[in-house]
Amino acid sequence: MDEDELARLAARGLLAGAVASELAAPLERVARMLEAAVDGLDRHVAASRGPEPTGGF
Amino acid sequence: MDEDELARLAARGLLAGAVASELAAPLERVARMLEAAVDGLDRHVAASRGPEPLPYHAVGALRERVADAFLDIGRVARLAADLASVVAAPLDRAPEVVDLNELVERALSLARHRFGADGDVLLDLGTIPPMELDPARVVQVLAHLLLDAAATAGTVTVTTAALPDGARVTVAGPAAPSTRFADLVAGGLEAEGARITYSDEGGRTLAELTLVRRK
Repeated sequence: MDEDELARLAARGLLAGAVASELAAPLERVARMLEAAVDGLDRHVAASRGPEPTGGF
Repeated sequence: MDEDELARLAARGLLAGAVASELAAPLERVARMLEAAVDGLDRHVAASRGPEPLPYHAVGALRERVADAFLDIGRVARLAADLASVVAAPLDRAPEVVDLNELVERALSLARHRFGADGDVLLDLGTIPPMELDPARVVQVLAHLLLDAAATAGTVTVTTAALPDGARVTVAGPAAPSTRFADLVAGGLEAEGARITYSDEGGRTLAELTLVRRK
């Protein structure tokens, strides 16, 4: 591996460090929001009257 | 920036590149699933006669879509967190007391995408007292060893064992390790007595990372 390739990989590593730290927290927030949505829908299904005509989604 | 720092950053870049490509496809799937869910809700609202509960079947189908999105994004979130713990850590991070087996599992999380349908990984984790280590660097070394070991089809076995003065992690697989990046990252650990050795045993390649307990 030549010096130029090493330097480019190093730059990628530097960038990945910055991007990765930005990814983790927002993704965790999205996961929590979806978890709450699924929980709400589960409770709605459990309390619903049963099969009704539907056009589906 | 000196040569050692440049080389360590380059190793981070290689690892981040491999993992980042695994992030893209699931994130795209999540986006499409959520798009379909929103489209379905839009059509329901447009066709709705007024304020009435969502039909049973429609809510069930919507629930499946949202649940799939949740499972996918949960996996991506864990992967992103593991990636960040390695590539976003300071290069000269102060050692901290860690569970070596937990570091092995984080490294496996980063390398698991390399184990395709024809590959498998077996963990045999021994009881190891907490050790004082640079967790980011150890995870990165192990991730590179696992990525090398998973380069060809077959079973890779990861074993951890306590030693009188430290611990050893052994990665055994069918592929000969390229060694370059694991050695490169491990270089900074050598001053603390850590080392990687390679050997062949019954047609399999063994890479052993030995870590010495701090006095």
